Amino acid sequence: MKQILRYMLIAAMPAAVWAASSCTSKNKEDAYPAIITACDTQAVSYKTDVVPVIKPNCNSCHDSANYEALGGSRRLDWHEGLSEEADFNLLPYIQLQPGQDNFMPKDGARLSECQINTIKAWVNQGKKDN
Amino acid sequence: MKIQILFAFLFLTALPALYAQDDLLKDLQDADKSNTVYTMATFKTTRVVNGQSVEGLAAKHLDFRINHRFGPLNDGAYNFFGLDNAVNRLSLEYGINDNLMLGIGRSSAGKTFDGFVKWKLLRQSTGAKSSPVSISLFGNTAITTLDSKLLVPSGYSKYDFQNRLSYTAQVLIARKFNNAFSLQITPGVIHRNMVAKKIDQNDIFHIGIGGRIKLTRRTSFNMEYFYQLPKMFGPLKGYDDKTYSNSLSMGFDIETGGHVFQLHFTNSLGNIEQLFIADTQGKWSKGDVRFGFNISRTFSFADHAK
Repeated sequence: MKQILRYMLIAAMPAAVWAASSCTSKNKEDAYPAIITACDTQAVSYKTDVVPVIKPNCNSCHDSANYEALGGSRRLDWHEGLSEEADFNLLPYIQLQPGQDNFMPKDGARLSECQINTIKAWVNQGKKDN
Repeated sequence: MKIQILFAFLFLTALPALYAQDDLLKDLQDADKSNTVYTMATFKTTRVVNGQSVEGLAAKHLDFRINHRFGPLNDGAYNFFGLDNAVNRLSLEYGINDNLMLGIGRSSAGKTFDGFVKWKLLRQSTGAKSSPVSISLFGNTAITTLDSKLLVPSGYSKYDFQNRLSYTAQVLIARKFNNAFSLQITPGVIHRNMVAKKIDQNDIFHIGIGGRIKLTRRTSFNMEYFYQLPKMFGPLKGYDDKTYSNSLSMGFDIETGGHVFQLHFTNSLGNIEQLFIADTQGKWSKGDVRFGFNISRTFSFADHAK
C-alpha cells in the first residue's frame, strides 16, 4: 500500500506543477474586445432590423413549419408571436452564455451584443410592426 | 435576505445539538482511554446534497454516481414543471485507501469533465486519540469542452485551452453530534481562468454550511447553503447585475443496501463546485428551483477472504 501511495505522490507532483502553471485570471471582455461595428438602435424597424436577426438564428425551430415538431413550442416568425414572447421567453434566454440552461439559440453561437441590443431596442420602442 | 436565511438555517440545525451535549459527555466518560473509537457515518455518502461531505470511500471501493437535475419548477405545466429538461453528471469515484479517494466525472452542463481528490486529514474520535471534528481536504480541476465558437464572441475563433480550466479547493470540517445530527462547515475557493465579464470574479471565496438530521434508520433530511464571501477581493460576482445567487439545497437521503438515493430541491443547475457555487442563477424567491436526485452505487473490490 505504501508503494502505491509513493507512486501516486510521484504522479501527483507533475500534475500539481501543471495545474499551478496553467492558472490565469482573465475575462472575455478584455480578452476579446468587441469588434466595433456600427450598431444603430435609434429607430429600430421590425422588417429591416429585427427579422434579419430572428430569421437565420431562430426560425429553424421557431417557425410555423417546425415549432411543433422540433420542440420549439413558440412561434417567432411573425410579428404577433414575437411580440408575445419577446419579454419573457426570448430576451432572457439570448442573454445567457452558451452552456447555460435554456441558452438560445440552442446549440448555436451567442448572438452579438448589437443583435441583442437591436431586439431590446425594438421591445423598448413598443414592438412596432414597421 | 441571504444573511437571514443563513441565521435561520444555523438556528434550526443547532437545535438538536443542544440535546446532544448529555450524550456526548456520557460517551466521553465511558470511552476506554486506551482505545481510539472513530466516529462512523457522519454523512451517509460522499455528498451532503450538491457539495462534498467529509466522508470518503472505503479502500478499494468504486462508486458509480448519477447526479441529475431537472429544469426549474417555474417552467410551468407545459414543460411539466421542469421535468422535460435535465442536466446530469456521471462519475466514477474510487477509494485508494480509507483516507484517500479519487474521482472523475462528466457534466452535461458546459460539457464539463472534472477530476478530484479528497483526503481525510483527521477523523472525529474519542479515547486515546481524541478529536472533536473530522477534517477532509478537497481539490478538483474542471475542463469545459464546449465548441470554441460557442465560447468566443462573433468575429473570433481561437480559445486557449487554459481558458477552459477552473479549480476548487475546500476544507471540509464536520462533527457528528449524535446519531441523529451532523453538521459541516466548508470554507473554500474556486478559481476560474476565464470569466465572461469584467465584473465577474476569477476567484470565488465561499463558505458552505451543511447538515444532516436522521429521520429513520434509512432516511435523513439534509440541507446545504453556500455563501459567496462578498467584496473580499473586489466586488461580488454579479454584484451589480444580480445575476448570481447563493446555492441553497435541501432534500432527503434514502439508503437501500448498496445504494444511496438523494432526492432534493435546489436552485443550482450544475453538479460540480464551479457550477453550483459560482454559477447559480436560480432564485428560490422566484420559484426558480429544481428537483434533482443523486444515485450512488458502490462496488467493492476489497479482498474479504482473510
